[in-house]
Amino acid sequence: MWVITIVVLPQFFPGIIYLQNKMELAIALILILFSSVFYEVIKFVYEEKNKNTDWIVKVQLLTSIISLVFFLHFFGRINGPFFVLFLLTIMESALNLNVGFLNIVVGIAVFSTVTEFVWLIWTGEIVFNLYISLQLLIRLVSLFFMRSYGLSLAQRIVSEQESKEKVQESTKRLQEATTELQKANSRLKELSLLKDEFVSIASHELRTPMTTIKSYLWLVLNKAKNLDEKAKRDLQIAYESTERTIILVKDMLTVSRIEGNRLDINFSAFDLKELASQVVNELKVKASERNIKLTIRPFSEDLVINGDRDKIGEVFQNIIGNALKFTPERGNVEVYFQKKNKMVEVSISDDGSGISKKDISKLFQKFSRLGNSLSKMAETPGTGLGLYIAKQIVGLHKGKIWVESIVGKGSTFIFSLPLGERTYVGRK
Amino acid sequence: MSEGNNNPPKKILIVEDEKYLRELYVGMLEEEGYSVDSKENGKDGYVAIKKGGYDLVLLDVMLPGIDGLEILKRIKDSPSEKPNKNIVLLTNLSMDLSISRGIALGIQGYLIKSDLTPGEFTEKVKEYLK
Repeated sequence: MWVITIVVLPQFFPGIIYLQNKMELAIALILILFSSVFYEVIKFVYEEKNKNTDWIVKVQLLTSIISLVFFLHFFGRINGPFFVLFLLTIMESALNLNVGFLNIVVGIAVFSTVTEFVWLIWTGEIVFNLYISLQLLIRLVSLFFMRSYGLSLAQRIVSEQESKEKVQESTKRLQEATTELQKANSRLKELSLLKDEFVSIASHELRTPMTTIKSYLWLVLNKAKNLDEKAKRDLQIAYESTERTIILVKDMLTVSRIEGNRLDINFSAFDLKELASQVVNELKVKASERNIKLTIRPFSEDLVINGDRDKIGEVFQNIIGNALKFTPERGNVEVYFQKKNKMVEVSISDDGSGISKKDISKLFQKFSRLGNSLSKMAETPGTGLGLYIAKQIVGLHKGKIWVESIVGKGSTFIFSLPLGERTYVGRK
Repeated sequence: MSEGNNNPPKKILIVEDEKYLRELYVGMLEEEGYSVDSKENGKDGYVAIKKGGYDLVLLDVMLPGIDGLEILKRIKDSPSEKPNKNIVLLTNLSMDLSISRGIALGIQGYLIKSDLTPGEFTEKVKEYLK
């Protein structure tokens, strides 16, 4: 209660005393100034204590409007300078955004203005006429105008603040969601690493005994004497199945690395033609087993590219290997090159059964198995991962891979790679 | 090409922990007329390589005790008493990292065991010994 007493009194003080001269007017103005500062201090103290300062503002506004009634009465009546302060107080009350309270303030101002008029006419100080009526009307209108204008301004400020708060809220939520996502992402990365490690270890553990099995089967098949045809055939099946498993395990490891973005590409400059002839030489034995003519069309220019020699070698192996698989006996497989702008296009064509348009779209997918060649798939080693891996490797070199095929006539697999700088100095 | 009768047989060291594979490789290479030593773990392998004097060392990457890359590192830091002409890594996977590290440590090449038949293996060895 002491606060109210201290707060209200100074506000009334200048109004109560009847001021006759300018000196007294100056004292009144100083007191108004003082009371405003006084309120601000109290408000500040309360806000510091995290207490509600709403009531302090209301008391301040009420005392202001009431003391203005006094000022209006004692200084120049309705033509006095204090009428303007009515408008400011109404505006301030409107900004407080409490319509009920605002109406009280406006009510006091209207009451005071009308009373002053009636008082002046009653005492005969002015004569009631049209001009005086207009003056009253203008004052009342300005009071109501200030009320509406103040309210709309306050609402605009509030809605702006709200939208700002909404933006802040959304930003906060977005940040929270981002943090969550980052956490989930790093967890996924961890899991992916664990998976990669598992596949890597499993792959090694599987390949060690598989290599031993494959090697001994080869030894028996190639070195043993007096093997009858049936035993040879059975051993050959075991050998080929082992080889297929080894390739599958290797391909699965590669796919796991590709999908985890962990396939290391060791870039160096090398001659693509030299690599092609190396792979072709390695595969010539397989080709001759089925009387397939495997050739490279001569190309006079250098074809140096910057890339991973082993991985591009794998692309050659996969595509030429496929061509050999699906080309009938006595067929032809040809490798040839073309320079196009800053790219080299490598084509591997065969005169096999060709691939239908429907199947082409599935070709480069994982475990793709084509309708017309399931039986061939079953009888020749293949994992259904080779072309997928080839596409990924070519992609990592900023190249493209595609196929052109006519059913019954054959297929041409083409991959393009960017030509490199002429820094090639031969293979170590 | 088999060794000519007039020349002493070329010396090969195989460091490989997989017993049966080691026996098979030793058998294949001895059949070709080479003189083959074999070690089954990293420690013995290191001692033999350190002693040196081989025309070709076939060194497995994954070995019990000291692994192949560690052996290469030690040899690089303190070279063999008698130099080895070629050191070739044997791996079971085309593990990019161990191959590129091996190359940095001065190997002359690498053989991916699971990709090769014993016949192809022998051919590759002959190429290194040319």
